[in-house]
Amino acid sequence: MSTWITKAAVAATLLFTASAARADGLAARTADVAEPARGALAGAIAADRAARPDEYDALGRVRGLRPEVYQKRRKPTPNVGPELARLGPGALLPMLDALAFHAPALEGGGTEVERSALVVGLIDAVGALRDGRSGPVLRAVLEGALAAQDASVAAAAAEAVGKLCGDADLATLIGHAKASDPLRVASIRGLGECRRIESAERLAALIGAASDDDARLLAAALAGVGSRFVWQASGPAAAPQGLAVRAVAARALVSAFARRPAARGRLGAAIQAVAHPDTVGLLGDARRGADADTAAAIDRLQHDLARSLSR
Amino acid sequence: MRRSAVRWAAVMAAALGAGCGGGDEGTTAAQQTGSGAGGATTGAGGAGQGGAGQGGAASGGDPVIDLVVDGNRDGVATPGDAADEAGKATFDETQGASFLVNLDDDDKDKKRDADDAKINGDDDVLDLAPIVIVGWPTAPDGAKGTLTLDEASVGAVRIWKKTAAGYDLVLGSVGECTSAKDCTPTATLAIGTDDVRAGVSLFLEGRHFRMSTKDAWTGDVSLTWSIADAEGKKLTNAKRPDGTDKVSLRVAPWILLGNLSPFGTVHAADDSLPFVKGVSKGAAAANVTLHKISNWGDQWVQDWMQFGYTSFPGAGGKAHGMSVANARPWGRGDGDGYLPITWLNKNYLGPDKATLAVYKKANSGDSYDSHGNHDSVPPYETAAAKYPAGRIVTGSGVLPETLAFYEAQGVQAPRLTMNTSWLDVGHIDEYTSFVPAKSKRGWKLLIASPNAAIAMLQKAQADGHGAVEMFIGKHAWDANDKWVSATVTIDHVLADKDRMAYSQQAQVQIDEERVHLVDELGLADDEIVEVPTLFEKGYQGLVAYTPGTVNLLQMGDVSVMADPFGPIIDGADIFQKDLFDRVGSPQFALGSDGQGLKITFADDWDVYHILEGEVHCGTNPETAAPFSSVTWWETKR
Repeated sequence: MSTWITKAAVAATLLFTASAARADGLAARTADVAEPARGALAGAIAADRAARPDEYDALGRVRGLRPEVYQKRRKPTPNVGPELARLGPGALLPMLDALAFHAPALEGGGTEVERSALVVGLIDAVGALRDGRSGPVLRAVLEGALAAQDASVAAAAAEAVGKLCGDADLATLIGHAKASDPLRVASIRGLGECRRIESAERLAALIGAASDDDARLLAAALAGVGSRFVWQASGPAAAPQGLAVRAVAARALVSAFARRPAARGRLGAAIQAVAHPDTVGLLGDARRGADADTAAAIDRLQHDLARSLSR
Repeated sequence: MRRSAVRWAAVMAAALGAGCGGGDEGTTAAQQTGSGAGGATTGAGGAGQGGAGQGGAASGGDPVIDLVVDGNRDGVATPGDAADEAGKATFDETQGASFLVNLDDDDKDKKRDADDAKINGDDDVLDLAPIVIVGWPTAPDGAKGTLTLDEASVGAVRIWKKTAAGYDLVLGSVGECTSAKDCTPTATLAIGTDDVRAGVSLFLEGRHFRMSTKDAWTGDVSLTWSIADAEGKKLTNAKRPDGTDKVSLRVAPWILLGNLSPFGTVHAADDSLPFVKGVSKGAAAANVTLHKISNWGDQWVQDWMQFGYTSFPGAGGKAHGMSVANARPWGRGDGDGYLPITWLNKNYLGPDKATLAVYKKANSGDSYDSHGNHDSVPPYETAAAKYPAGRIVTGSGVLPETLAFYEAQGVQAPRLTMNTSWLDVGHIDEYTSFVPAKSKRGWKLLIASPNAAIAMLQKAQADGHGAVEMFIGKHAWDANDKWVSATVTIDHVLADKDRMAYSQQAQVQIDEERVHLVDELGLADDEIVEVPTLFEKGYQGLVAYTPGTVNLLQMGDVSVMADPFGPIIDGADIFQKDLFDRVGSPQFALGSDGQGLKITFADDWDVYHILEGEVHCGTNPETAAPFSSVTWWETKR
């Protein structure tokens, strides 16, 4: 019918052609979930399923996958992440089961687009719970997305892995953020969700040698790592860590802003997002010795920064 | 529309006036033709060519080789009128003829007037451009004329010849046909001696707009006229030494309405009582008629059609034309019955109400092709450029043929592009709106602001109101079909790292776009007004978490916004209060009187907000002639 559905269908076909042969869950093979987590999860899921089988079966008939529901949306594609998230933490094990252990039977079979939406929605909902038990499953899904060449699943999985941001999660994302890695873009976005100093430092190192296009991507990720809003949401106890992370992000962004005219729009917006207290000083330092265009751009950014902080 | 009578008489008299005194036909020349130098006369030889110095040609005298169009834009092609003569083959801000694409349905047969092979009544004639072949009463026996239409225009227009019995379709796309390939292309018309002597009244109608600047057809139509004697020798005179007269007419563009257009009607789906109630209240305040749509299964009325208009100089030079609804390429189901053009042709098409589809393939495109992603920046100018009729703006995506169509209209081009790829739905109306203001520019930009929303909630929290709830009484579906409460406290919202992260992402995108818009539109800081909005993640991008009040319906000074259902503190919804304080007050000189916009709220939660849209998405305003205070033919574009 329409372009986006066609694209999604192609991607989904790739995914499910592959998964039909390999996966035990909707998005990963059980065997790809690392031990000892695999065994622990399998046991927990089996016990939980026995206690409340309906919670598991229900994932095959989630509301947002029904055409009469999603055709009413402004963008008439299925979207089930928010409604799965509303099920709360009690849905974690059924969702992990669906992703990597037992693919639920979709009511009416489901189209490829609907199945793909379910996978992405499950990943989003699992990621939002930030439960460390999901790390091995999400990492397996991320690697599985690479095999299936599914960009939507890769993006969702990398973001979810970034939200968990344990040591293994961070290592996975950093490993895939290398140049020429097929999961590079997704992993950089995932690092933007991982608010640790190591993530910020990795992104800062990458932006130092990035192309203009990559600089825009990395700027967004640094804005995520250093997000003023998120660090405020993290509470007073996280403030010192937040200041340190934001300082790394601010320095990298200001440096890139001075050197990359083509990406200044995004870089300037990212600098405002981080809004580290040292930013004005950093911009002043960058302005010294800058050419006229750069100096003017810095002046304008300082004006915008003052405006955005004035509310 | 019965104002046709005056113009109709003038046109007919103009056409026949030339011949009315000629030969043995000496009857009456209409008085309307007498304004030109020399004027039409009622006596023998009164060819009405005074302006051209050919009046009163004696038998065997100089040939009259004269085509007339409405070059002076008074709605009439007047032989002998020096102003019409001066504008007959040129087009600039002061002179030049134009014509309409005749896509309305004056005879209400549910077929567009340009698609059938008949003139659909007197009102239909009003939509056609008059052309006159001035008669040569003393033309010798055997004299024959040839009227030639330029080849590139053949598929784009039809030309009708007035006869005693009515109208004959004689040039251009001949036949009953919707598609040019089904028409009989006709570029040349032979005119017999009697008509050479009497003169001929012609009417030109456009079949389609200019679709692309790359098309062979430029939108300008050229007609040439020559006369040969019985032996086929081309005749000349002192003024036409090559024996040829030529006129040109330019196709009127489709012009996209903007938020400052003088709306008379607003359309909305009749499927949510609270929503319709809110829109109805705003419409009443704006003195706009609310048309409720109850026979179409798509409540996103902004998205599946787009109102524009087309006009040209009518009677007395006043704008005459029609509203033109442009249909989205895709529907919410398989089959033609779901296509928006189907609804439009059945329910909207009528007198002065036209329908249009510019896509090449039905059910092509995607969310970006919804018309909430296409808008018009109100008129403005910068040191670099002037946009007196506004400027089309679109978000990301959009089918190439749609973009080509917008560019080809010229008057609102070049298009401005905004990045909407970061949004799930992906429409420009999700984070911007243009509203009237008492300022030099006459309008300002409202822009969604996560910064503003968070700052407001943080202040409330700091003031000890963190436990106050928002979205009270509102619900959303969970995956198991349970209608669960959406109510949350301020503390909960501000501690939600994901929503803060997504709002931060949105702010980054908006800040980048703000720089772009300032550069393109020349906006000053006080011409951009921030509207508090939080964002969250949709399926493939971000979407408003708090009801998107910037996604509004603007009618004059009245704004209908989504009820934000914000926290109630000291008896007031702080989101509403913030809007009243800045948008609804004199602070930013919004509204035509600078006293602020007159805000009304509509409850769009259940049917629009939780399905990723707001008030603008669910409404669509239109206007009737004269459509705008700006006439495109005077814009130098």
